Amino acid sequence: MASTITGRPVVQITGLHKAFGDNHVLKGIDLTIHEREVVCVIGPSGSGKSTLLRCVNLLERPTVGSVQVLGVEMTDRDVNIDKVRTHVGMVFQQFNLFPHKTVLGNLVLAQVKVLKRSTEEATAIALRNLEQVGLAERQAAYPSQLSGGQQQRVAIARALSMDPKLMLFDEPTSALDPELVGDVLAVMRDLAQAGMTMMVVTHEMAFARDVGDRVVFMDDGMIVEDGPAAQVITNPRTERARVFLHRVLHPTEVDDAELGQTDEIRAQAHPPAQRSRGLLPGGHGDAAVGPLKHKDH
Amino acid sequence: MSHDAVTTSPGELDLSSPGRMSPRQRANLTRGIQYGILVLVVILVAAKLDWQSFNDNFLSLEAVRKVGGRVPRALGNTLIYTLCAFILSLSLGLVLALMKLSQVTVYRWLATAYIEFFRGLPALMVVFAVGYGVPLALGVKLPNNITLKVALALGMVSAAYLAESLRAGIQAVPKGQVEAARSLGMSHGQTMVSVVIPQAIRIVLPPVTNEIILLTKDTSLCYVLGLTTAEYELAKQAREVLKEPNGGITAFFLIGACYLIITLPLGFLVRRMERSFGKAK
Ligand SMILES: Nc1ncnc2c1ncn2[C@@H]1O[C@H](COP(=O)(O)OP(=O)(O)O)[C@@H](O)[C@H]1O
Ligand SMILES: [Mg+2]
Repeated sequence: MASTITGRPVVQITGLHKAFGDNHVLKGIDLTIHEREVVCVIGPSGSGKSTLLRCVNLLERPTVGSVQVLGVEMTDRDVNIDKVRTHVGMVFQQFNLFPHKTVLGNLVLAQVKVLKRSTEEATAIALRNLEQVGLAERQAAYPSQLSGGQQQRVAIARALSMDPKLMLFDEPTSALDPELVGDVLAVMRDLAQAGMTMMVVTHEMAFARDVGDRVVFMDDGMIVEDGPAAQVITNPRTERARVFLHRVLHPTEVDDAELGQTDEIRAQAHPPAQRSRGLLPGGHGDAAVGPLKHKDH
Repeated sequence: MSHDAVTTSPGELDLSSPGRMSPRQRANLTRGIQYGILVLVVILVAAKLDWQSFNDNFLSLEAVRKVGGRVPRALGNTLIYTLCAFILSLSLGLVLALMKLSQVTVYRWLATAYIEFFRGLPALMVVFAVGYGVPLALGVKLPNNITLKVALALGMVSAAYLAESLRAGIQAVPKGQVEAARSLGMSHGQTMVSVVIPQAIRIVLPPVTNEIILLTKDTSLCYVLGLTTAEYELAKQAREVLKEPNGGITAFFLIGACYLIITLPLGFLVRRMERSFGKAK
């Protein structure tokens, strides 16, 4: 992926705040995602990643600020939100396939109901997308008969069947058994290589580094770092990102003295310039991230 | 935390409890006692029963022959009354459930008021009201059709119960299902019809079955409307039979058993449906 960004902006977020009652979850987010760009969002649990993603297709309504998707102001109360959503695919951590429909039924439903395609056309498109995620032969199965990895690939195919211009992923591999993660990531990488604009919340650092054009590090409702994927992951500028990445990449090395320190660090606007030991020594980052297994279908 | 446990050598649990039965022995004993009681009761009943009188009253073939011809029509009427009442109950119950879940406060109030009102009244009073009270009070003249009146009265009562079950079923469908459908561009209505309600139906199948069975039995209340012979349902027919000389209790029980002819297959059907839903869950 070239990091030179030329495409039109697909998502333009400015001054976005979101509060649930007294809980101020997003505190002024500015983010632009261009056509064909893959932006990975990383950060500690509870930092507001999902909320940010859900503000893009308005599953959450922003409290303050502007969210423009494909040139449409999403916060405008009179916007035809259903129409915009047909262009924005979303993939959930828990798959959320329709359990009462077969795999094919899952892919056909919205095409027929929303896009008013004929059943034949919708079926043909569905099968093409199932082919793409390697599950054409499971079209008659019910979701409960599939593994988590297969369900998530069906969910991706379901979103793709609407011919979206933007795909949102919310920790798509976090609910999967480790050996099933690779298949889903491979599908996502193929999609990225085909030129799809993607916003991916993930803890898969190898994926973020290898497939992402940009990585956005969020903490406490703010974007703390935003830069080229390799740079943010292997050589973060801020202490907060360094601590987070160290904990994700070396989970067994968190020692007792460090427990709870993320909270401390978060509380300090400018963390101490140096710590007793380097948390992410240069050069070791690559080894820790590891290669992304290539998998062909 | 006894000292014994500590002093036992490692790898050897001391399980000996002198004078006590093992759990398996105790379970066997309990089961033996239960069978014993059953056998005892059967023997006592058989000994105390006046078999001659039992045969005359319960197994009189003559009585069966006498009423047999009238049973199918009564059974058919019960079925029709139940079916019509259930159709109204389901439609109205679904509307009430959606009203209770509505964003519009007034709809929620109206639905709650309706449900509380009709749950609180005895069904018999509602049948009476529909038959006599309301036409008098409001000056509306219902067509003199028993099926319509029964369906209206029982359907309105049953809808109040069903609405609560349906609402609970709809709310039990995970939020992620709605989000998935909405993120595909489906409208609120499309999501309800194609995603939420089909899944809610699976959830509410047992309480809805219950409601049908209750309705079947409640059709017996329609006697207060004054039925012609052709309109008799099972319970009314049974009462008439009892009045006849030497009609005997046989015919009465025969007609009673007809209720089971309705409810037993229904239960069977529902269990089969639940099993077939199994993999689509
Ligand atoms: N629907 C909601 N209602 C109330 N609070 C919410 C809701 N969704 C998220 N939150 C709160 O917002 C914060 C950020 O959540 P989230 O965006 O899910 O974080 P992340 O995805 O980074 O783990 C959390 O404190 C969470 O409790
Ligand atoms: Mg999240």
